[in-house]
Amino acid sequence: MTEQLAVANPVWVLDAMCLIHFGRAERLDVLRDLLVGKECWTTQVVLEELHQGAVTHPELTDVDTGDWLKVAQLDTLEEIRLFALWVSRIGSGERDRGEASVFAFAELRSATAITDDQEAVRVARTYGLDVHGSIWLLAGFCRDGKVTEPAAGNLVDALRATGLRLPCTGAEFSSYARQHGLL
Amino acid sequence: MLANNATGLTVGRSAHEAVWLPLPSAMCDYRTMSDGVEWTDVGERMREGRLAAGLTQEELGAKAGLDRTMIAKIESGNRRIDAMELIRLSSALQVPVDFLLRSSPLVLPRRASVVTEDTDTEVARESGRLDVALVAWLHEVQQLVELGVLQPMPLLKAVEPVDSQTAARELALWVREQLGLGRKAIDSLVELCERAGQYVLVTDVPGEGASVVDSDVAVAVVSLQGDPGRRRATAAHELGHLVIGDEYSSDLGVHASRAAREALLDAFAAELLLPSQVLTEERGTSEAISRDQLIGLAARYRTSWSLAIRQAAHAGVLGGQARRDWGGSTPTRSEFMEAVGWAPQPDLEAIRVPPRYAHAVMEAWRRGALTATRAVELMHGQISAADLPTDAEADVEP
Repeated sequence: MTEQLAVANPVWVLDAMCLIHFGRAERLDVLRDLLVGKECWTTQVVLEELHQGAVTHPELTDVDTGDWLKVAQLDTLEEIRLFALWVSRIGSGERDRGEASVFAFAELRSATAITDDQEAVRVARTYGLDVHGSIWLLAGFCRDGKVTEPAAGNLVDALRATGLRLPCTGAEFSSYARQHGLL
Repeated sequence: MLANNATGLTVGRSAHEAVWLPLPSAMCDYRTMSDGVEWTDVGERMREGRLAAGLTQEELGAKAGLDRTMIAKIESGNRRIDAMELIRLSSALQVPVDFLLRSSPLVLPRRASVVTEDTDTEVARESGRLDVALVAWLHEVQQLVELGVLQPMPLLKAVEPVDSQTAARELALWVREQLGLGRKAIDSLVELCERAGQYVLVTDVPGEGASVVDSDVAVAVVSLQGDPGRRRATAAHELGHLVIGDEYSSDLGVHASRAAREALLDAFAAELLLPSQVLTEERGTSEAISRDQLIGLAARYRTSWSLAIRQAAHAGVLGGQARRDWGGSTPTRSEFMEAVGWAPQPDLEAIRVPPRYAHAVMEAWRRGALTATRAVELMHGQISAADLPTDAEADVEP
């Protein structure tokens, strides 16, 4: 497992769920710092979803102001066809479309998609995509020495406090990550 | 748009719509040239969708947050759209996001006329909206076929050309025989059509029905609008399009009027739903069938009252006076319910999608090829998310 992680694709593409909950937990700056040195993307469709959410959560307006996150437009025929294909697998609701755009980009760029929607993860993996959630992301930061395990556990609790469904609590983070070969 | 020419089977575009729009010189690099041809197709589909929705370019622009000139450029293939614009445009047109990105299939002839800017009437728009629903439904069935969870049933097609109402009625009886139905009442028309190879969707879109065969997949949409008997007649009529197929259009040819062609299909539908022989047997040794007997048959065979009267007249079990008198006095719901012992008779309302299709959706979801959200979308209201088991998310690796 550790060997697989070591050769994991260096391009990441983030779904709205990850960004929204780091934003609501007021930890977007932490996420940005942790992602320094990574090629990190999201999509215009996800940003639109965030802008809708920013009406009730103004902290989300910060998401697209930095240069740490590149934004994929998906504007060639190949790109929008792939996007439409993923919509036909994931769904056509607003959140589904964001995920579909992330998976389309991940497929085009052989990138790793990041989302905490378990149902979407299950489907994306069926089609061979490399896709993981926030726990996998945080465990990676721990391995890289960018954050300590207790600090990652605190982030897990902060994210859960915003309503994000994660498979473990902050206290369980280290054992859960080891159990799944992430640490 | 997806339409019928004089001979019936079509590739569906009027000469007006097929005008080729040249690419501007500014787009003549290799990539935009190859893209440009396809962007022109996207533009054409958008124009078809806009006309079906009854919107002007300005109105579509206002709904999608784009300037009218942008809409004009997209329609002429001179401007690309990105994923976000695709979402806004398809949402404004009330079509699935892939609608603008896929080519039109061949469409069998139907009752309504074709919508273009020159024939922009409510009837044409209704027809256009049904076409949109039909194409979207075709794509959904094809998605399940491509996923390997749905095996298209062999298409039931007439062996001999059908060139008269008598031949159409004989064909309906042949279909009954092929499907092992004999003279029995059709319980679920959706299921019957599926066994004949045609996947029927009952849609909220106003109108009557539409059908298409694309390669080895045949689909039809039937509007929920109207009474249940009418819906069944529409579904049977669309099945007639499939079964009669090309032979019917080539035999009647360009000289056959639309009315003659529709009458032929209506004869097929009526005989399929309520065989003449059933009426003569019901009459027994009496000179004519009684009103109560006919109510009983209409209730059991679930036809509209007018279809039952027409069939009774055709079978020669109804006097001319009775036809006039009964036609003006449709039985009440309680009379129909009394005739079937007050047993509920759901069809083409509670059942929106065919059974094998529904099973294929569930199978695709179980295999992880679709999310629950998408599975519910594909079931068209037949189930909600709460109806799905909840254990599919278990054991997803982080």
